[in-house]
Amino acid sequence: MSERVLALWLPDWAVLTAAEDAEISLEAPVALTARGEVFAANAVARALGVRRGLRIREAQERSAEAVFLPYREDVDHRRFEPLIRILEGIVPSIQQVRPGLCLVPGRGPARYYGSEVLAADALTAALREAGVIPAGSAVRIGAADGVFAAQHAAYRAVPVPVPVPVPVPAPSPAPIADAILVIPPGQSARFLAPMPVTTLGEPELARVLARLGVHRLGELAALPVASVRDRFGAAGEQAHRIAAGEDPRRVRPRIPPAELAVEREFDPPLERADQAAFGFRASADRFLAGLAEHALVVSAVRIEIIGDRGGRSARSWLHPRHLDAGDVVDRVRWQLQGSGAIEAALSEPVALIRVIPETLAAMSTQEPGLWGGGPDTRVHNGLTRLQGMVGHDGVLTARIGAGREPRERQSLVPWGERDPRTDPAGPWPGSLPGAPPQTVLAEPLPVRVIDAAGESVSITDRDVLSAPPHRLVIPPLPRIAPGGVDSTVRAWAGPWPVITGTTAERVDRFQLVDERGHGWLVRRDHTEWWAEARYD
Amino acid sequence: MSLAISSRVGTGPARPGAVSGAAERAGTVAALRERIRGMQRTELESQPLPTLPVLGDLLPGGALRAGGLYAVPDAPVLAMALAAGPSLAGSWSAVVDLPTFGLEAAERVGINLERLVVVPDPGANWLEVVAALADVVTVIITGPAPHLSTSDRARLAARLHQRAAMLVTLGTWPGSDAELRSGAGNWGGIGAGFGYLGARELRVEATDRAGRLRRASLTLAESGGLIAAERPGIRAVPKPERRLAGVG
Repeated sequence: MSERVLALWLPDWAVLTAAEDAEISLEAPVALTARGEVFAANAVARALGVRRGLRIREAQERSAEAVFLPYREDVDHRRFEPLIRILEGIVPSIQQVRPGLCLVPGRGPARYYGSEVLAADALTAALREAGVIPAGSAVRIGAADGVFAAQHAAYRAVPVPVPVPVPVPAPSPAPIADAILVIPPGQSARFLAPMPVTTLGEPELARVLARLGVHRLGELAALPVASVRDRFGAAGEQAHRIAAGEDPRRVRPRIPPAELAVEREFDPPLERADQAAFGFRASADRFLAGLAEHALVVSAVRIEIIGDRGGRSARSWLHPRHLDAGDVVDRVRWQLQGSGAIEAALSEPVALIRVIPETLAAMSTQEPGLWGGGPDTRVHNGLTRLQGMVGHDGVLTARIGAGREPRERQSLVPWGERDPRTDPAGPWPGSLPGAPPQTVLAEPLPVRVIDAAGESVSITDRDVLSAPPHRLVIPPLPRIAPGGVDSTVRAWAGPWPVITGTTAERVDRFQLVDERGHGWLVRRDHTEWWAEARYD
Repeated sequence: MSLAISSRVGTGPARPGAVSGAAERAGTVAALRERIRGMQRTELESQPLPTLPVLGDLLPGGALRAGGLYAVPDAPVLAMALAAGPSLAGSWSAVVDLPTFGLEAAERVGINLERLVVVPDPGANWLEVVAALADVVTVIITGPAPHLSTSDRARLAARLHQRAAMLVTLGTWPGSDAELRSGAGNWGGIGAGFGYLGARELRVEATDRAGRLRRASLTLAESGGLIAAERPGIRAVPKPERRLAGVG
């Protein structure tokens, strides 16, 4: 007999919290994407046909106005963490299946509160009271024998219909109500029987079962267990037991992690970045001491700063190796002052600084080897010092980026941050042939390309130039061409059309050679000429 | 990149082996001049830094000098080529105050991007940033230097010398070890409305501290690498004879 389990599910958790963080209204269609596919979509987006598993391109076709946000697993977990903590305050053991779904052993709470329904009400009330349920979601609780049945009971829990006053306000989506579905002990098999075998989440097994004519969990449960075991082995036997309402899995409560985050309140609030950074120094020491106690080192932290007037700034900081107390204080200071000078006054006084470890590693994996290791220590220390002078975003490492435009191929990442791995090799249809340009302008520069008659060269509807380019006029460009360029065109090639961006705008690119022998990469959009890069 | 380099060596001047009379004489003269210069040298001996073979003819002593200051006012590709030698040998390099530095072109010439640090905007701290970088990296490429006092320049030069680093500025620098300029050269592969920018011929002139002029003709290949030009007559030492002698 499997144990009683309460499953607690928040529908659309990930997409609703992400939309809330991005400050997108509830009525807008929003979808989260991961690995080129839709990971989750809110109700509005689903109504438009955007569903989990669709390719992004296809989803965009179905709903042009939908907002697509990347799914960030770490943010999702972090957002769900407070809920787990609240629940842990009520019931001793919780298993988080994924953000938005967790399991509680049912027997204890049911006995304490009197029944499973009352226990579920207590959990719901605690979450509602803390105000951690995102707007548009609700608490759905399923109670059943075993993990699998409880989970599906939660998915199917629907609120008891309450009489709604007519007329119903049509446009705003009706608030989703909390609900509970209790499958009485011993009834799980009957509850599960009509569900398709694909519900088990074992596509391989489901395919074979379907070919054998077994389509529903009830039909699977009706098979003799010995035959299922002979044919499908241990996995099949487990599926059989789940279908029969005898889920062997138990709730595996998590061990609450030690409190490693450190926060410091300032009363009265501090006005200056250096004051606040200095004031945090002791807390940073405490933070590192706390980690050391657990033999941990931290290579990424999240720093949250809350202002006196309620302003909030939060960002993650990475470190190529691991942070010490000084590094933490540096990052607090950088975040406080932004790009301003050290003694600049802050936009609002600082009331609270909180540092949360994001990536932890065991200390033993981080000890330098006998002959040293990791990036060159001397280089690392030198560049860290330099970051103290010009700011975190002032010292960069270089990579070839992905893209067809020279500017897209310049990829710079702050020293110590992880670089987004992209594929510069391509294929990039429409990329430029020949050697890459030595000078890549940070911003395209408006230039003039004139024909022999003194008219600006344009491109006709038939993709033909109005006249061959004769002169190239470039305004003075500090450092690169201080006096500007006004020269006849010695050689030219183009137009090479490229369709770019989401608006599918067409631009034509050219290469021109000026009198001094410099090659210029210029492009023409529908009205103007722009210089992009120079070849030596 | 190392493959590309070895092929460059292959197309460059052959190793001195059996040398014809005229070439031998020229070589002897050069060697004697070098000895005289060595005896006249008033400063401390500097270590040479790894140098791209194609640049040897342009630099005093035939190689980059640790602590050296090089000015390249008009051709970023030459600055990249100067930095490529140490970078290929595993040194770190830095690019300061040059937001337009073409990374892909730099990589093609031979700069190792894995060991490149970029400080696009040092703000008012140009000198401090360059001095701090000298502790860490071997080659610093900078934009045109801001106005510096003579003593600041001397201090920076001393710092570079002490750290065995070198500075390449995309501007001028009074008293630089060499100032490299590229004259107008022809582009291959492009015409009036056809083709695309292909290989380019670079006629480089280098002026050293004493005002001596060195010339070399280089080719910026379509692959982005820098190789010696395949044109006899422009080089000081006639190459075809050497080659034939080397092969035969």
